[in-house]
Amino acid sequence: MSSASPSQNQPDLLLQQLLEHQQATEARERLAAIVESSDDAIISKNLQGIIMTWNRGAERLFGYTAEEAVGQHISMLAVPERIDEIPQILARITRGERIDHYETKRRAKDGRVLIVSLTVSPLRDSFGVVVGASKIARDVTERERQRLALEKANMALTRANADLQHFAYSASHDLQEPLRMVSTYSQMLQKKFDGQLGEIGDQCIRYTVEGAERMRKLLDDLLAFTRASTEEGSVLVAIDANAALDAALTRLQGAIAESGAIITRTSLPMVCLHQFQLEQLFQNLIGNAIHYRSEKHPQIDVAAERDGDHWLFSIRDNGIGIAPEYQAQIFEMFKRLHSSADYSGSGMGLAICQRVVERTGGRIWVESELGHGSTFFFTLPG
Amino acid sequence: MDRHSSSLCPVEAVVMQRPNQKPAWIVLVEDNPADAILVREALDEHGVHCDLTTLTDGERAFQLIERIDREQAECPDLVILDLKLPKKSGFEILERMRSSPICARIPVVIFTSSSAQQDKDRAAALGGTRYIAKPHRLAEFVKIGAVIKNILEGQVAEPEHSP
Repeated sequence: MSSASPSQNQPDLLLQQLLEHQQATEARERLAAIVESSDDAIISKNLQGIIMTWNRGAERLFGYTAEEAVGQHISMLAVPERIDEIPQILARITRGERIDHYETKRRAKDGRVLIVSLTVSPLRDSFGVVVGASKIARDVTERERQRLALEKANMALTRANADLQHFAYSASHDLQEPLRMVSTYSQMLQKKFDGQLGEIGDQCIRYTVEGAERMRKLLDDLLAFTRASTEEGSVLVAIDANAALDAALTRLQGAIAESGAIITRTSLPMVCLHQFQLEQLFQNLIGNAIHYRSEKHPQIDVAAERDGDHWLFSIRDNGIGIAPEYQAQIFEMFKRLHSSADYSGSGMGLAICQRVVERTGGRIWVESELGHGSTFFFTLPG
Repeated sequence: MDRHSSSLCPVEAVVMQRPNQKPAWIVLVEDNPADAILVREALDEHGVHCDLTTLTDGERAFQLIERIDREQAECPDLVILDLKLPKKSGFEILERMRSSPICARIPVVIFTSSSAQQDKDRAAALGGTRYIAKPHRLAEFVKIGAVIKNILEGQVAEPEHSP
């Protein structure tokens, strides 16, 4: 019944106290188990710096057993160059301060120097007086080693990249000079001795002249590619894509006239890019459209439409098209699908286009069906 | 330095082009003998009536200008200047020429493998008459003969500017 007498309540109270005690013990044991099983070293020390408790994590990290460590001074973990650090930490703890994620070095039993992240908080008695400190030490040696290794690898990569670009630039630049000698002098031979050296002689000279010419084109493209990769800094202003297209078409007028290509265009927007780079994009893509034409008269449509905060450009042709398996490869440097006898080229054009577009944060891709023409798309910030 | 010790343009050219005129004196400052031969070829091709003196480094060009200034000597009618030269660069020579009382106004054609805009700008700022990047095609290269011929012909109308 609900109106129970105090005498009847006595055993219940005892039971309840017992239960609470048991629960408290369980909670303490659970906490102790958590502390014990922690991967982090959890240590407590008094204000004199004497180690009071030492968990498994501390045993694993520092190599001392609890028996060896408890009762010792915390300075046994110090590294010589940071010997002042421990008294400073103790002084701060005594003032009731807490130290969070402090990265420092400690020495393990076997002499290894560890990089640890420390969190040290004051331990207070029931009156609130600071009587010691609890310290959680996390081993960040491996993380730190990885970070340094990554940093080093990054630096090496940056340097290698800069070297490579410098190399490509000076190679393509400096190789032009001796190549010019080969070009002009083989042409001189051709001019002065054509028809006098027999068929074989003429052929030798012709191949030399042509080889030098291809080499020059290749070096020019390599130079353009390196420029597309290194063109830095200058704040981009919006330029008129119509003017860039005009310039590209002027440069292509020989090929356009020769192939009888018909080029239609919509009005193009203002975009953020170096003018010469956009000219290069149009020249390469339209040049390709003419170059890789089928038996049909080349018909090329240039258009642009708004796509979110970008402009989507498209250059559609009715040329030979590209089989699906090659559509990704064609943007790789020196990748060519045809022999130079069928279709000449350096294999750099689309690599340059990709580099130019991707450096603006845009994308370039092709949609095509073999025998049914190709459409190259690229996006540019507008 | 005797300018007449340098080789002459072919006699036919001299006779056909300018039978009554003294050949022009052209100084070519060029360290690459292959290019010197091509320049000569280009001048021949366009029948440029000239004495051609080739200097193979910048120091020699300086010495020539200094001697002309010192002796109030005859000045070349035109100078073709490479930019990358041993000892003194083409820019230094151009600058030195423009500060010479005697050679300040003679045409200077910069003929270089550099097509860098900054080089073109600098050549213009220093008073270069023409800037031509050395072409890879022989047919293009040879056109420098026509350019020089035009400049010299513009020059012929003027009175003799050398003592």
